[in-house]
Amino acid sequence: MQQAGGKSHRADVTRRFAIFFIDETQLGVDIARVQEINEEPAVTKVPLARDYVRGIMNLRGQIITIIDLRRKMGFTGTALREDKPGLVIVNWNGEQVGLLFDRIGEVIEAAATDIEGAPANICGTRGEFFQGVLTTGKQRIVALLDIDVVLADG
Amino acid sequence: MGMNSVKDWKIGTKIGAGFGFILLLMLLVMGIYHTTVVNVVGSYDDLIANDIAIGRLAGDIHVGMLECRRNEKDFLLRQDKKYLDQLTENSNKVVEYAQTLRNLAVANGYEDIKASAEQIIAKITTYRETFARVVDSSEKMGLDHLSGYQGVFGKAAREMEKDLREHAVDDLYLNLLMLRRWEKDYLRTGSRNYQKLLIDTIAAYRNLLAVSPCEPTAKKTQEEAILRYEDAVTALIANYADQGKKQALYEEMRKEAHIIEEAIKSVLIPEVRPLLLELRRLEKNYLLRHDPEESRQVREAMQRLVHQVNGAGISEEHVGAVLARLTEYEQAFDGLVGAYGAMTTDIEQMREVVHQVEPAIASIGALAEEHVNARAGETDRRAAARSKLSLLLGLLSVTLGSVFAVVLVRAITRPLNRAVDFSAKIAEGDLTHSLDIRQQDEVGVLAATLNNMAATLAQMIRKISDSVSTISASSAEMASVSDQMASGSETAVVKSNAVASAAEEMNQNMISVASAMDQASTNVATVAASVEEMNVSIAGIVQNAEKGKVVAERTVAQAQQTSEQVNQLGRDAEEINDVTETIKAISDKTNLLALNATIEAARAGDAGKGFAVVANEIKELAQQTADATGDIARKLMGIQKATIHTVSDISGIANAIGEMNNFISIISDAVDQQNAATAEITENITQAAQGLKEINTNTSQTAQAAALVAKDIADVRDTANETSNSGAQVQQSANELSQMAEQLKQMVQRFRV
Repeated sequence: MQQAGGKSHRADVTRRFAIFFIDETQLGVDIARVQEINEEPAVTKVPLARDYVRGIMNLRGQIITIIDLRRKMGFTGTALREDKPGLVIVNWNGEQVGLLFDRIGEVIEAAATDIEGAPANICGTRGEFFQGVLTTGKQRIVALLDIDVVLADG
Repeated sequence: MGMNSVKDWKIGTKIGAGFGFILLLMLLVMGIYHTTVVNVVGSYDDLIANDIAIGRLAGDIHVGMLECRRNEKDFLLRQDKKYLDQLTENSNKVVEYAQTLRNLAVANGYEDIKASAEQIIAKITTYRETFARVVDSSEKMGLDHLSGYQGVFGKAAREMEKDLREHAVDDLYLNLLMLRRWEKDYLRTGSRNYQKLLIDTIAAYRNLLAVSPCEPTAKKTQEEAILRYEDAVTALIANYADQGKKQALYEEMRKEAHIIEEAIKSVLIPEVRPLLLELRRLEKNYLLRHDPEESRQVREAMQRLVHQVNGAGISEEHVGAVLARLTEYEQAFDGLVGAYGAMTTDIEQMREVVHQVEPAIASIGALAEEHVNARAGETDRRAAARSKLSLLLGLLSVTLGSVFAVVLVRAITRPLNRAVDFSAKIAEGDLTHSLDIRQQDEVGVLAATLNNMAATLAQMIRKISDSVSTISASSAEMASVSDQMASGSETAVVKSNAVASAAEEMNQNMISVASAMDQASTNVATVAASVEEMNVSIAGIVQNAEKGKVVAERTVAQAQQTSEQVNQLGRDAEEINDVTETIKAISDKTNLLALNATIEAARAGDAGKGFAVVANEIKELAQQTADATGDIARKLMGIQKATIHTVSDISGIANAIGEMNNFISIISDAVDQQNAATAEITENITQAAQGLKEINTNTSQTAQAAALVAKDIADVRDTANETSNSGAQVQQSANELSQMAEQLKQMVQRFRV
């Protein structure tokens, strides 16, 4: 389902990405994979879970796992936490998973030609987490997350 | 008495006599040493000279002998008589050396060397004589192969050979036999072949005969016969066919041939040539080696030759001639052998002599060395004996010298020491002793002089002692008088000093008082003028202070009101802040909703496009709201900060004004009090000025009087000081005199007269 969806998007001239921040790094997630974006949730901690698992939450009757993206992707440094942390809920393997990040950005449209191959390392994270890099008009660089890879080795 | 006479010698004479004696002894020792050394050196020189001379002579003799031997060998090898002269000369030299050596040996008493030398002389003479005989033998033998026995022998050998050759005609006989053979063959066959051989053989015979050494008579007979034979042969060949002629001619041929054969046989000694050759060969062998065996072989060969001659069928006449030749040869050979034998014997004798001489020469060196050693030993012993003698003499002279030195030193030092002791006592001041030395030398004179000196000194010191006592008493008196005078004048000085300083002090005080009064009057006038000015100023200050106080109180009241209002403003601003927070929250939420709406719209695909636009608009609005709210919040924050500052500033102003108000009140009070005090001061100052003027006048007069007093007192003091100084000087002089008298007394007391 999602593979097919990804292909239909790739055929289009433009793609949309939900942008959010960890530190000053802009991360983009294909909007097709995004269920919704939310504010910091009320999380219930799960004992003996891995360190990047914040816990679980109840989203309108559905229980979803909350992953701390900073830890999961191995970002170094501590979060500034100026704003409230955001939560993006994505579809993965038929279930919904919440990804915690520092700050909510916006939704942008990008031509497929603007996307370039990912470098091996972005801000101390592993290169295979990224589908590519998007350069926008304002000299901004957005790293495009490959949700499947990020969540795969969980 | 003898000892006394030595004592009376001058010291110089004593020392001179002693050293002279020792030096004489030393001279003796040196003389002995010198003689010994000269003897030893002389002996060694002799030794060296004799040794060298004997050694050199032995060497010369040896060389001379070698020369002689060389001459001898040269002669034997070359058979030249000049070597005899050389040998004679050399042997004379050797004899001469040996004579010298003998004389030297006799001079040195070397009996054995003398014997050796004489032996050498005798042997050399023998040697020379023997050699002369050898030369004689050689001469007889023949110095070359043409003279002496050699010459005789050679001649005999040559003649013998020549004669024998005349009988060596075997070849002719052989040729004749061959001729007869061809003759028979030709006659029998008449073949041309034999004819040719016959003719050829005849030619060969003639040729052979022409060169043959054959005896001349026989040779002539043969020559004539062969010619006739040849004619006969020629005729036979021509008339071979004629049987009669042939026979006649053949008979003639036979007759001629017979004549030839007879002639040959008359001289032919068969095989004589090889025998002769052998004899000559053996003879050469002997001449070369002189071996007796070889001489025997020569004789055997000669016998064989004689035997051959006797066995041959030659004529008696020929046999006699040949044998005579052979006998001649043999005699010559015998003479040669005999001469050689004699010569050999002489040479042997000569060698023997030489072999006796050579050890004698060799022994001379060894003998000479023995003698040298013996004499060196003798010289050493003699030198040692002399050395011992001179050492003993040297020891004796040293002992005598030491004894003499002790006696001499004691003779001089003993009286001198006594003189020294005596003068030491004089130095200590003891003049009671006298010196008892009765000698005529320098020391005796010194003792007499010292005694005189001691007596004179004692007399002088007695006089000095008397004078010193008198001086001492006088100076003591003078000192006590001047002491009293000095103490009186010192008291006067002290007292006048006290008065002078008091007067001086008073004068100074007066001057100080006067100047202080002047200053005080001036100051008082200045103060009075200042107080007047101050009075006017203080009145102004009081008025202004009153006004300031009113204004300050009003300002404080207004500042308090303003503060109240500003505080109210701060509270209002905080309320507004709460509202903006709410607005921010709402706009954030709206933004989130708009984002989600955008996502939903995207998921809806084309159907959601319109909705997406609306969602985006909402998002934009929410963003603007958030921005505006943020602005307001920041501005409110500014207002609040300003308000807080303002409130604190105002309260600061109010406080300052309050303090100022207080100060003004204090100033006002102080000025009032000062006003009253100033008035009092003014009055007091006026009175003080008046009093001061009077004091000034009195002080000046007092000061003048004090100055006069001070001057008089200073004069008094100066006079007293001079008196005191003079007294002190007198006293000092008296004291010094007294001390000197005391010292003199002590010094004189040291002498015991």
